[in-house]
Amino acid sequence: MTDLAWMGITEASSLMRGRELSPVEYVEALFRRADALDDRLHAYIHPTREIALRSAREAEAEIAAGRYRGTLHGIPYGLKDIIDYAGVPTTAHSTLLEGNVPDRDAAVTERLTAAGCVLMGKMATHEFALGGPSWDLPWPPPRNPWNTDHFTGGSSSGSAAAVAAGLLPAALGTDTGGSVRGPASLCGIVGMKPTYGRVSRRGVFPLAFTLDTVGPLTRTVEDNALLLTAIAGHDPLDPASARVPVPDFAADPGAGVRGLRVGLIRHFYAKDMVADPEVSGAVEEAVEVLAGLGAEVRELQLEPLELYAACSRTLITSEAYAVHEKWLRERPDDYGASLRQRLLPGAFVRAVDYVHATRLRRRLVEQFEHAMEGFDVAVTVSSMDPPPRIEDADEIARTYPRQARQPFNVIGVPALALPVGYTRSGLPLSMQIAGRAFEEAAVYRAAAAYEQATDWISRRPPLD
Amino acid sequence: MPGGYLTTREEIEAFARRTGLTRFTPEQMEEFSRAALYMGDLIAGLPRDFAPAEEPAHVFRAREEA
Repeated sequence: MTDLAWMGITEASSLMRGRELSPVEYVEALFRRADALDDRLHAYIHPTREIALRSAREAEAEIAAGRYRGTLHGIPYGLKDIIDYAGVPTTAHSTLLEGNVPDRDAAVTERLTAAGCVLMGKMATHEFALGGPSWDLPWPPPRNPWNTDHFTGGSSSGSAAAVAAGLLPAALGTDTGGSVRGPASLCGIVGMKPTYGRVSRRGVFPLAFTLDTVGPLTRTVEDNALLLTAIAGHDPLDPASARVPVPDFAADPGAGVRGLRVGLIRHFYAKDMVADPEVSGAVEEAVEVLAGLGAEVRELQLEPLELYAACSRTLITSEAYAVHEKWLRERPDDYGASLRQRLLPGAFVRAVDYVHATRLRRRLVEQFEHAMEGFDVAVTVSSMDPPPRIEDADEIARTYPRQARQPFNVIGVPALALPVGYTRSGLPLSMQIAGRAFEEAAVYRAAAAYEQATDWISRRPPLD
Repeated sequence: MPGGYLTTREEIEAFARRTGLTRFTPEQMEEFSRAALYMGDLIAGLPRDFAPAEEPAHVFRAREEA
């Protein structure tokens, strides 16, 4: 049996169904690991031990009684602390929400509870999913498990750190400008931003309404697909929720990529921004692996990265300011400096600039759809640089915007980050695979084939 | 001109008052002034050559029964 800390969902599920693994023992083992490591990692804001043990006991009893709910029954997970779970504080990692206890679950929480999942706790984030790392908030920023002197990325920082460190097999994050894929990339795990509208945002504190998505973070592609299958689906109470069928994204992890048409967006990292050579080299090698597996790889030309970034900046800053205007008027002192400084430019964005950004967005969507004719998926870098040191504010400020994740938020399509190697100093490197709207299955197909052809997921961070 | 319409500290402070941002400390007002400067960078790169009928990517739909 695999060490419980590193066990994937599929193996754990099989063992629990066969009553070779107790959900309670699984939960207790993961909490023991968190007790030993989280003083260094700061991934958790609020562990939910009582809920976890109660849920695990219920799962154990149900499975024993033959009432097995499916692959996620008894599986532990964490929630980024902007996602509601009834009766558990949602703080958004901020003083402003201290004492906020929702009385209803978020839609994604409802779905995971129905699937039999076990909430282990609420995970650290950048304050309200923007800004950071911050040192003036009630909780410290998480540390990168691969080297705790380094940044996790954000804003789903605690979710990524916990999964990468073997504290959890899975967690949910949110992605508005890259906040699932960024920390997944820097922490060496798999993070999926689904199509906008694929997963309900009900019960998730908003950052930017027209860009916000909820997505899973896991150590393997198959586990990720299992989670997305569970949380996806129409929700009439989310006005952006799409009424589209949800396939079983984990149905065929061995489908392979023979004949899959892969577009390499090289200009993002070779011309529009020049990536660190270790990053671009790892992505180019990964593309060669896909080609070696039978994928048909050609270059794909999109609009320049800066155009997407300008669109994303304008939308996020405007919409986030609208969310926070009341508190900025009434309680400016209660924000951390990093978030306040990122929100305030929103006061100056003119309506005409916002409208132009949304017009640009439509252009970019149409250009992507046109460019993707003849391709099934697109591949490019995620971060342009390896994880910076967490206390090097200048390096974080330099590298934070050097990423190629925002384009896929702006155009609303699915994009997944997965590990493609490690730097000479042992820090994770990552690439993105994106697809057309609602074609997450193609993204997972390419990602699974790459993952199975390499052995990056067998590496463990040097924590023990 | 930062933001296209605010140039001086006095204008920025007056804008803060008009928009209800009246509880800033001097340090926070300094942040607000820097935000006005940053606003120029923020929207730099946005094209402005849209045809009059070029639609935004809005999501408004009237209800079918409306």
